Amino acid sequence: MKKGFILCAVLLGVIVSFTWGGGKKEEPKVTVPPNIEWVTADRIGNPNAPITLTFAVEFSYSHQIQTPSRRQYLTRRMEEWAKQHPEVKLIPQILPTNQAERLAKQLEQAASGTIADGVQIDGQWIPLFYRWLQPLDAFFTKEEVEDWLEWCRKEAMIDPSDGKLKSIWMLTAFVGLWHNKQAVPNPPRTWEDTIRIGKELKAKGYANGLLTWGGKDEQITFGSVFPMFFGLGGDLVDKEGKPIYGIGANREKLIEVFAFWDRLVKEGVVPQRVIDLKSNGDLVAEAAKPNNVAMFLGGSWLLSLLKDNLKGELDNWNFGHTPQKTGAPMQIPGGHNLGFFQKDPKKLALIVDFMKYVYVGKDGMAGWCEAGGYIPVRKSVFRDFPVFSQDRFMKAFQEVITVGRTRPNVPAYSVISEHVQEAWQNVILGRQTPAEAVDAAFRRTQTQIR
Amino acid sequence: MKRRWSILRILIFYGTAFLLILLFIGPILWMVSLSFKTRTEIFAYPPRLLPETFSFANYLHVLTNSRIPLYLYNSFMITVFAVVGNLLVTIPAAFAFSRYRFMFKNKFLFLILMFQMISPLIISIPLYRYFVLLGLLNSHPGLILIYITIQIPFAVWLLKGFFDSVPLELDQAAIIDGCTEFQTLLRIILPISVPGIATVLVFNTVNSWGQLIIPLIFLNNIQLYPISVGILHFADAQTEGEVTTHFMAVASVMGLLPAVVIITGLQKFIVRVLTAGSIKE
Amino acid sequence: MKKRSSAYYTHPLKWLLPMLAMLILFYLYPMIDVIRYSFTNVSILRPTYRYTLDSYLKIMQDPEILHTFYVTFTFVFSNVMAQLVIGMLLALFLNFGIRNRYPMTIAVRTVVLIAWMIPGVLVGIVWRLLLSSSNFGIINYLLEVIGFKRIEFLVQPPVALLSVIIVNIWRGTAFTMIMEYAGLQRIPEQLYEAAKVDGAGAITQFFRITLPLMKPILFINLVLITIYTFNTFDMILALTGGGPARATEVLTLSAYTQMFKFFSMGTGAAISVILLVINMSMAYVYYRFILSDTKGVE
Repeated sequence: MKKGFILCAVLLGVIVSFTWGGGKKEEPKVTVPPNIEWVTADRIGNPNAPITLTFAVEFSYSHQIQTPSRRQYLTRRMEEWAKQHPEVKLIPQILPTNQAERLAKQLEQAASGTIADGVQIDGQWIPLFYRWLQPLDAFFTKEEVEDWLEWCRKEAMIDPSDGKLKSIWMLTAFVGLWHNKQAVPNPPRTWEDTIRIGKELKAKGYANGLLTWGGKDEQITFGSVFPMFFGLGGDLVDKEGKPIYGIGANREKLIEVFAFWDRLVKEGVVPQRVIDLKSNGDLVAEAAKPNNVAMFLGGSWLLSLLKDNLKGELDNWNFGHTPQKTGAPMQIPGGHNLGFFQKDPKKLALIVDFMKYVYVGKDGMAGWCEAGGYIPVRKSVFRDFPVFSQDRFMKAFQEVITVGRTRPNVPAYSVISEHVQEAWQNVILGRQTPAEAVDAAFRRTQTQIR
Repeated sequence: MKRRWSILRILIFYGTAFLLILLFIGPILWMVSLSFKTRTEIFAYPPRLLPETFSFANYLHVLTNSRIPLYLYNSFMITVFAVVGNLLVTIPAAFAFSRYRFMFKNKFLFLILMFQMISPLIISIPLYRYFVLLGLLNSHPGLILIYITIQIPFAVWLLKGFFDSVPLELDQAAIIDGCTEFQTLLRIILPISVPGIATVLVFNTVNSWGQLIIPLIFLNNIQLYPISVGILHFADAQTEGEVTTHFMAVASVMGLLPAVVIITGLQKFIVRVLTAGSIKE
Repeated sequence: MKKRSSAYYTHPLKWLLPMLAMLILFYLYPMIDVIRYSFTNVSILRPTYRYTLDSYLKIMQDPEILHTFYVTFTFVFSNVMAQLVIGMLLALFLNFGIRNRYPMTIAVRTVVLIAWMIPGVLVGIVWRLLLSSSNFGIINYLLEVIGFKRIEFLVQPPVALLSVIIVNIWRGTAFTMIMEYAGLQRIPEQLYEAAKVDGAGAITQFFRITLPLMKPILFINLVLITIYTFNTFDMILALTGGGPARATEVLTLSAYTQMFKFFSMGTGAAISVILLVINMSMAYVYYRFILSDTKGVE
């Protein structure tokens, strides 16, 4: 019996020491061992470096990603910086792919002080982190800050409570109308045109008139509902952040948007199976299939995927505005930001410098956006790099994003989005009329947000 | 007449067996086929079962460019420690429930079952904060401790059931021979209960291997990831700007391979032991 | 000698200690916290909180809560019934095969077990691809080849729920199969032989010998499958995310949405407590109505 206890204790001790005793070796001298790999999956830089920093990005922004263009760019850039800073070792962390879990984890980490030094955070949620984010005014000159697009500076970069620079926009992305120029030489700008052209396409033999991301996800609201709602001038929340989308004029406007989608389905332009389109791959597959679809609402980030899968065919495609009732432009720009949590000034400077070099400095942003097919948010990058000033798609993107309104960055937004997504699906499936759907969603939201 | 009946029986049996195998292995075979396809082949229509080219390029890519082997190793270490640790804790407990008499025993047993009802998702956030305090976050020992704990209810119930079927007379005989309780457990009960222990071992292994939510929440460092989390990175719907279905298929196949090997190897043992057990009775 | 008969040992504490320690430290303590949270409005977004019944009220007053209960109970009961029956059939099938030494038996058992070993999330992802209505949805393609119409498995709500149930059965039946197979092994041959001599056919043997003797195993089985199915979560999340239009949103998914999308620990905890109460009630119901006796030292 006693033997049992001793055995247990020994085993537990083995477990503990095995993993805890493992890898805590830190040498104080700054020597670089010869022939090292500067960029590996779990370390960037000199393995003997005295200073260790951590940074967290999502998988497709990390050097683990498979796409050659991204991987090569990131690896090269990171290696360059690491060689210039042999006193620093960087440990990369990968953020959870699921947005909800990611944000929850980031919030928990920030609150408990376990978050990485430099972190990629969705631009919409930066305000939630204001109280933990370190000010960055020391590292960006006034001219540099002004280089960022106007709506970027208004949203999320500056903390309104103390006027300090708290995060940096990396890039932006938004949903628009991808269309085949051959079949749709004049992409529809109004709702009526969309229905008309959609029907014509079906008559011409296309299997679908218009497709969009319909699987349950933020992208329903981000891409298919709220741009049109904002286009009508609707408001989701009031100044205090309380949901008001189901009351009065806002309610009417949302019903109008739903009614448009209802018509699209009833007239055969949009099939109910859009609900089954739940990933980038799904949309791209639809585009790649011949005689299948000539226009769809999809993200600007699909560019590199479309390039890979359509190859030459891509020449026939273009990117245009999301159809609005009156045709006046309105989009919702999203994007990611960088935030920094390291309190030590010296370390903070280093991590900011690193991420600036790779992702958001002038060259960094140009390089990264080019590699990833993203849209930069610095005016100088658009101007001075032919890749962006000459590229057909980049010009199209710039054209489309001239008028933008971001989503409200209040916690109530995720509740609203969740309920509206469900409402939209109910309308597409024909289970609720647009009015019923809006009312049902708003009732739920009101129960949740008291 | 009898011969016709037995031929019919054989036909029905094999027919059913074939259908079952197809049904259960089908999706997995399809995933294997996906793992050999190129990125454009995945979207090809009509979908073909066999890839046009058996390109091992995908496998090569994943093996050299990702940490799959490391993840497999992590999963292996975590599972081994979790399963062994669990047995070390539950065997004595089951012994106590089977062979001891004490107040509230049945209520206590039922209470333990109540713990089975608590899925890790439910306790994840408080556990997270708690682990931060204990310094167990982002570490394998922390993970192992959780795995051991969530397997306790099932293991205790099952083991108790198996221990119960060992006749008390054997215990009494051992005591007469001068054995202590511990020796009784070790020499008499355990050997007879090997089927039960084997079953618990299999369940614990499967469960630990497949855990996803817990390591996702509790681990930050890529080096510590088990294979379940590693595969998730390749899941198509979640990777922005990238289609990685074929790589995910590769990762899944690699993640399943050890499991398949273990099951195939282990089940022969379990069967031998289970059938031997019935003869003894 | 007599003193050792039925009052066996006492003072089991030293045997129970490790288990108790683990349970209290890593299960009980967080669980108490969860119960505590359910009576607050804890949110990851706010550092402070207050005690309130609001979380429960929000859940019970949600216009859609009945729908969620409906989906959850439908999902669980269909699964439990189906898995028990199919698992038993499979166990009998295996038993038959092994006893008559048919070689393919082992293959069947291995294959069923492999399906079970796949992490839930992966099952969801793989089946989502299989059932897709797009290009690469191979099941639809096969349907077309045979001459049927394409089925939009994950688009129409009732079909989606059915699909989720079937996928879960596919995944989970192995558990019942093993448990009942092990149980079958423990029934002595002599009982069957005696019954045959008495003129009992296979079906009578099943209902008079097999089932009654398997009661304890069946009971544990039933309880455990019910609990597992109530707690199923990552498979459904990957397969449908709770859609379309919440047709497959079970309680666990609601809890997940509350905790990770709305960052409301209070309501997430409240749902968890409700789930716990349901689980406990089910286990108690089974206990009262199915298990009449337990083995062991009483």
